[in-house]
Amino acid sequence: MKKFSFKGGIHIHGTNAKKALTTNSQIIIPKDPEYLYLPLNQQLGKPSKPVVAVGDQIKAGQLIAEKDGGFSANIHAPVSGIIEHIDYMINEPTGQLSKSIVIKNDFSNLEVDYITRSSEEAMKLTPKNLVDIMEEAGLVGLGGATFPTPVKYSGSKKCDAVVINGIECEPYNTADYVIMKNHCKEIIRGLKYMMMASGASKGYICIEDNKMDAYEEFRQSLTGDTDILVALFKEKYPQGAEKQLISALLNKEVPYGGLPIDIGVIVNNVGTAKALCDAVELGKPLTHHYLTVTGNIENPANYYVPIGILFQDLLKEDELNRNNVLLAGGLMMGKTMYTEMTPVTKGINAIILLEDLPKVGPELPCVRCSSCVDSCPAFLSPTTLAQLVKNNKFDELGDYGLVACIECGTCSYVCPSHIPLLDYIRHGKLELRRRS
Amino acid sequence: MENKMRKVTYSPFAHSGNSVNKAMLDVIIALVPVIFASILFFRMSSVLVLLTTTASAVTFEYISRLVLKRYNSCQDLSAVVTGLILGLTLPPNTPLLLAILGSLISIVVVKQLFGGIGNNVFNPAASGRAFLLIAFSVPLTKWVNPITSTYVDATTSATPLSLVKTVMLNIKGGDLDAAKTAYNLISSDAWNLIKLLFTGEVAGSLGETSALAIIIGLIYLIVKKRIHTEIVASYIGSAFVVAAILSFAYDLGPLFPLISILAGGLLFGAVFMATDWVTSPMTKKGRIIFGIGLGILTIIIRTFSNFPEGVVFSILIMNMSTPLIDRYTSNKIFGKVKVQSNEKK
Repeated sequence: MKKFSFKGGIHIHGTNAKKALTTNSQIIIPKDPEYLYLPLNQQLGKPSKPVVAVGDQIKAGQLIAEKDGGFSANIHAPVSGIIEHIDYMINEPTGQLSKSIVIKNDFSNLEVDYITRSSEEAMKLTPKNLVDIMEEAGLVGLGGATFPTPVKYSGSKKCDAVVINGIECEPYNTADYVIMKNHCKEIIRGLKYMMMASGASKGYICIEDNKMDAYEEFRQSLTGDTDILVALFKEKYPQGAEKQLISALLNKEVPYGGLPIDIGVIVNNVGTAKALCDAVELGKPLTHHYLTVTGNIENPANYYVPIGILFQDLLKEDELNRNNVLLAGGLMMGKTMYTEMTPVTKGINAIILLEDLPKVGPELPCVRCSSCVDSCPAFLSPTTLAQLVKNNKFDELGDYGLVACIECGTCSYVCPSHIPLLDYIRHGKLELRRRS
Repeated sequence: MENKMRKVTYSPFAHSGNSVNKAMLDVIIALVPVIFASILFFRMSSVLVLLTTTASAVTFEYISRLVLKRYNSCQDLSAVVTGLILGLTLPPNTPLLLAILGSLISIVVVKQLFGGIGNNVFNPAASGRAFLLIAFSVPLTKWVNPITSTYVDATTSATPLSLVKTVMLNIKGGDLDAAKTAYNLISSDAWNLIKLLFTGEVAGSLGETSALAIIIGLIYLIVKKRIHTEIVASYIGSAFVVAAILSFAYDLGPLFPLISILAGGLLFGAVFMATDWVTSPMTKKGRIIFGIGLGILTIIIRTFSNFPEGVVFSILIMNMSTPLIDRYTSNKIFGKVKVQSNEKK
């Protein structure tokens, strides 16, 4: 069986590989919280504009903030209740203070009337209809980048292939795996709608070889289908990075600073495919998603949560007290939260509590072992870039390919001299952005 | 709970646990079979030389860091590795004062004055060895046979390499008949010689005689992923090819290339000196070029210079060209491709 893989990368194992904590856990649907906090700045692009006012009675699924311009997304209420505040009152997971809509849950579970479609009706939709549905449902990329999905499908460039990314190479996360195991059919239908919307003739579903049961399930569900190929990938980090994924799968490189559509490919996460299927067939907007809650806690599990629930509502008090590090996103590319009063947004697919940061020694001189060069998925020389930043030679960074860095953290992870290579590279990126 | 202070930093929040001193420890473990073989064959002289070079290397490292007002770098074990490797390249019965002098050159001049680990241009052990060979060539070319030796030439204690060198010198002098006579001396008992070279029961530098011990060390380093195998492979491969060309050109028979590789310090240099992280190129392509350069230079120096051994000199020359190789062999950055416009028709 052919296994795809990109060049470079690392195998994360030992104490850092903790997918097993949650792979077989049951899916937990938490009790709806009394207050939900929905930041308006949940997506890449402009913050949404509120369309409700304080005191308004709203139903679950109702539009509460609409997209502001093309590069933005709609936000819907996950529960029914009353709008309590619309103000700057909470930090979103990126750390920014963001205007948020606060909903007080009335626990009446009133829902708006969703427009449902049968599969046959859905198959007759035009690409324009599908893009409208994506926009209406507030779809964004659920892999973590929160790129507004309709933007990918409404461009002027021709698309040949849609790639569904079910790799999930982050060492703690299993939310995508849970989606694939439970919603195989929906993901396939979602992919078909994506192919319809983009006009692509080929579809790919990419799965890493540590999720063989999901792979087999997709294979069986797709027997006889010639348009969609289920591709098996070697377990490696960062296999799920979209540009590396495309180069492994289709042997084509996305140009420097460009987007996959520049070479006729659209990549979407499995979660996005499932959300599109729900939006098309059930008329449901994106208000809930899967989330891995794991780490040094009693019951690591996958949760199906409303967007806007606070981290605090998913974790126990003693767990929060005995752990010093709260991560949102993932072990390799996530962010640390300074407070558990942070809402789950569309882009958060894991919450990890760790007792402490990894104990690494002090930064020592580079010994030119070339671990970072050999494992960099963008084929850069991280140590050279870091050296340039240390010496304030920012002008030369461009020549060494700074833009190609995907900030996967592989270099910092492997460095035997404990040099925070990625921190230096980020500093270089910031400095260049400041100068331009 | 409200006031719980959380640790906030940037990703990634994990580390492989790899560290320089773990890597150095692995090199030391890989050297154990070689050290064991050298003690087996040369007994006390081996123990004394190795202890002297290692202890003096660590001492010099400590003192120079103190004088240079830098953090103490002894715990990264790189000085131990340098001391051991230097000791293993010296002949048995090397005067201990010379061994200390070799450590001084390696650690103080070549390593610490350039800025310590990571900043040295030349391989410290190779430079120390080269200095001693040039400055004190008489004591440094006095060989003794292993205690357990059964090799025919026990009285003269000629090293296999010096036999090869006699062949080479005659080739260089244009006396092909003499070259063949000299070679016949080796080839008459070639398989026996190869066997002895493999186990190490021949005269030679402390750690360089036993191919078997070096290969065990190599396998350990490969398993532990501490070694750039491209360097070892391209070095040995290219040396073999060049020796084969010479052998073909001067009709020296099919076993000559094999003897060239097993004799002298080529194998030891390829596994423990050329693969030094600090002084070898950083990309795969670069490392292959580096190894090929080493192989060609080693055989050329062995054949056409007055020194019997070319390994340390070729390593130093290639160390010098490492920055140049790095510059021209950098990886093609992801996404630097030409693309056609993909607009919808």
